[in-house]
Amino acid sequence: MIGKKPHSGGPSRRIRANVGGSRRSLGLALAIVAISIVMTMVSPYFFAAGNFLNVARAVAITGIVAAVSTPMLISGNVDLSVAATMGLSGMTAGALLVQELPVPVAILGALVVGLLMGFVNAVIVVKFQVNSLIATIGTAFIARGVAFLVNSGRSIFIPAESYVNLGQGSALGIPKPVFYTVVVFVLIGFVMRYTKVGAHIYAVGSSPEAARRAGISVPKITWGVFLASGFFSALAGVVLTSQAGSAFPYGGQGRELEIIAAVIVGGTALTGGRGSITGTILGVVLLGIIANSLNLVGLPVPYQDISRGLLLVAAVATDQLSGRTLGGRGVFRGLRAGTEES
Amino acid sequence: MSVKKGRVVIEGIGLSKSYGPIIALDNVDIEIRAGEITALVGDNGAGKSTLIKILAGAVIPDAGEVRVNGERVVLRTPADARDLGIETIFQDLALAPDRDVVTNLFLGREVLRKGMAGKFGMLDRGAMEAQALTQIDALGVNIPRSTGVSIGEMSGGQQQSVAVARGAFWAKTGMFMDEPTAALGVRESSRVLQLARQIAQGGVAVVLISHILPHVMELADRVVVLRHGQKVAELTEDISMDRLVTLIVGVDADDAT
Amino acid sequence: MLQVTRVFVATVLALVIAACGDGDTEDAAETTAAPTTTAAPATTAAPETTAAPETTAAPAGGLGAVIMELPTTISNAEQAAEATWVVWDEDSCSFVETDDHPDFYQAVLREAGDSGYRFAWTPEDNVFDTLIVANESFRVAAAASGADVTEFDNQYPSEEQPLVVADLVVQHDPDVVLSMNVLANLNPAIMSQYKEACIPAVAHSVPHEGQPFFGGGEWYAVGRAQAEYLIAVAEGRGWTTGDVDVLLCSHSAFVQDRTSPYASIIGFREVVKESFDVGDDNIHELECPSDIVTDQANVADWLTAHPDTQNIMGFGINDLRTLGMVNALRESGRAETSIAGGVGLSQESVGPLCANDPTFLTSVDFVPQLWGEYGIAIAQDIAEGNPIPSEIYPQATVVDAETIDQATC
Repeated sequence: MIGKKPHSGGPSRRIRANVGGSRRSLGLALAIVAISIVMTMVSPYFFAAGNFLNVARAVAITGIVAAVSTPMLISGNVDLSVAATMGLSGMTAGALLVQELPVPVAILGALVVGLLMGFVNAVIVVKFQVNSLIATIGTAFIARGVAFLVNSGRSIFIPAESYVNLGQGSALGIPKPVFYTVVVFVLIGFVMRYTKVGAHIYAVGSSPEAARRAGISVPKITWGVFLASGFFSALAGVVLTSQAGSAFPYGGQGRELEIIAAVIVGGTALTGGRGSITGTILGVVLLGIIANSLNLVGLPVPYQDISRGLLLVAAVATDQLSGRTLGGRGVFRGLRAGTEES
Repeated sequence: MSVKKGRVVIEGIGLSKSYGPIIALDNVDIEIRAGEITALVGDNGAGKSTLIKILAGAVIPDAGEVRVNGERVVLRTPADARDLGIETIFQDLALAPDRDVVTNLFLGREVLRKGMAGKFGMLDRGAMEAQALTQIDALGVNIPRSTGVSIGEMSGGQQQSVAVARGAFWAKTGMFMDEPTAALGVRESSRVLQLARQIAQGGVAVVLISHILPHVMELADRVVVLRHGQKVAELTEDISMDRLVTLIVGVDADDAT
Repeated sequence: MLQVTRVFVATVLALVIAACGDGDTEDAAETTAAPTTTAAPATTAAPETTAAPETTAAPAGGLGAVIMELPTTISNAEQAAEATWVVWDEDSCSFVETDDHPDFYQAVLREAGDSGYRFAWTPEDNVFDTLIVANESFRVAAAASGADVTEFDNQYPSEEQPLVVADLVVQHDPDVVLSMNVLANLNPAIMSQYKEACIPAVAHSVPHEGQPFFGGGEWYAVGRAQAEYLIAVAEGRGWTTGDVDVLLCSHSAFVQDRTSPYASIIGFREVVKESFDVGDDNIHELECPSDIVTDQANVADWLTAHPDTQNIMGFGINDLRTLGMVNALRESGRAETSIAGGVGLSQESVGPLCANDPTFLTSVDFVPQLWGEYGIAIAQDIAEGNPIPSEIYPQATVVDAETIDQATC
């Protein structure tokens, strides 16, 4: 054996993972600070605890799904059914509550539906080798359709006060949904940064072939990220319906792109293999602060869309400039967008 | 090192493999010795890759058996071979380009923390870093070692050095190198080959597949020539370029045996 | 559950109205929106009075006593005088414009008597909630009036079934067909079939040129009615124009004119300006993409930027958006100084209204539970050769905590 003996020189400096991601995070943090300084000068209402809580409440639900979409994208897959899963699981919870079932049962039912969505997505992607982008567009339509069937297209006003109290109001002065989001971020951030599973998710996204040759089961990792995605999207659906006080079949509709935008702005690559939860948190907060700022100064919606779009394009352009290409990798696998690996 | 140079550690006996009507390997015997570099040469389709893949567990032979340290083994997956201390270094696609050296060195074989944290799958990053840097220093590999530079940001030679360093780190018995210099420049190639020699000197049985005959002649202790799926020669001395070319293309087949 | 109770209410209502003879007559057409006089079932009950004397007004031909007069708005809220009126012309097998019409149209459901009229109703489907209610109302109205009504299911989203239904209707040969086919591309084929068979056809939900249109909701009038209701509440609380800000929760996805649900925003804005003198500076239109929680966030941001507002009058383009707005008002501690109204009487408003929410005060019911009564009354007029407006809408009713049908709670 070579080199197993302790080396007297020893490593002089710690090796940090993902320096590129750290650079991105620094950039985002600076952007947030810059916008905050400008907004503090422009609007007297921006720099106030109450307003920051507004932002936190506004991004809480997007945050939960963005958190779980980060390992999804890092693994080289994408789940576009997250928003439909939110709608379907929310309707499930609502339907169970209307039957006067206990709140924990309703929440459990919603989470099971989420896991089921993850299961179906994983079967299609792993067993039938369908590109995840396409697969989850399909299942998104299906889930949305089923969500409409749950109550014949009608929404469900939530009768259980204890359920609504999970999402409405504040605890310790902080809007309740924010707590769930923080827990989810900490959990997923921990897994990605400090565990073997996290390391394997990065490896599979970076090079499925290298991961496979190194003895990592690519199908297992893919199963894992899809089940997690379904589960946490369902959790977001529960938070959404409890905060709204109503379950509605198109709950979450349109949020999938907002969520993926936040993750990508946060430095996670659609090509897989790169990204961090810290970056995603900053991406979510940045988009939230921009929306909040434009609301505060009363700029009309089109400007919000434009700014969000510019930010996304700028973020992805940075990726391209740093020498990354999209073809054939990550979510583009199997789309014949470029050279196939393997 | 305790392993005695020249002892046969990996053996293939009567190995055959067909893909449909195409016979890739036809009743080949091979012995690979510790501390030696065995070169495997032959034209395209001669069966080199098939042979090495069988010994590495990536291909299951139709007939024949593999022995490691004298014991018969069944290799169903590359993981089976790895468990026996047999590593394979590929031309490319062996590393995760977005990850750093440490992560790649321990890819799929991460070191977990002790106790409860380990049970939850927590990595012992510190231990992995220390071992990785020790390995890099021991091999004298010229790769950025002080920060988490991702593999993708390194030169081709540095990347291949990482792959070789990883193979060396885990290889107890044998290390197979399939065209390790194909994508490299002259200087980078010689650095990688130097590593191969260093690893062999550590007592590992090294197998080198290469088209570049000067490399083979410079480096190999033993050359096995394959043609049309059959072993046509095994040379340990008097290895000349002319002789090798003749054996590989089979123009003067009568002289070969 | 909900639909059953609605149908039940409609049935009881119809029977009560049919049974009781007289009472005080009042103008149901314009004043229904005022909160004092409103009341969902009450409004529809307002013209209940009608009764026998009116029957004399009905042209001879076999129709019997009046069962129900229905509050009706016409021509996208333009008044009757400006509306185009049409009458069925047997010779040309088409509807022709006519100047010979009353000033005012009211759908009046009458007993079938010995008229022998046969009608056909072809609903989009029998699955969607609104249509379950509407189809049941046709059965209820047919039973109450003795009219001969046959239902043919278009089985949305089938592309073939509406054409099959048209064939069946032609074979059935009714005196009038109420055609609810929402696949607009099929309407030319369907309508030409009816013309060929010389059957007068009313287009429901999707207009078709040359046919009278019987629509569902009438957005503009709804917005006006909600504004009138909330202004009355504001005045009752002693609010004055100077201390009120109006928040409108709309969505940029809607075409910003009178052809879309956005018309309710236009109507609401007009009334608060005209009747309560609120200036444009105090009317704020916010973007509400209808996710409730996103709507809430946008309203919350606006509230943060306007800490000095005293009283808020809110209106959402539908109940979901109003609920998001109300959630934001409550979480910012303004529930007591805000009032809000929605549209649709969906679950998002039924819940708060039943719970007597201090902020979410009102919504609007599009009365699918009365579509049958309207439809048959209109068909009776066509069969009788009476002129009708080329566009007819049921008058939607304003609902609040007092007037909401407790059975739906």
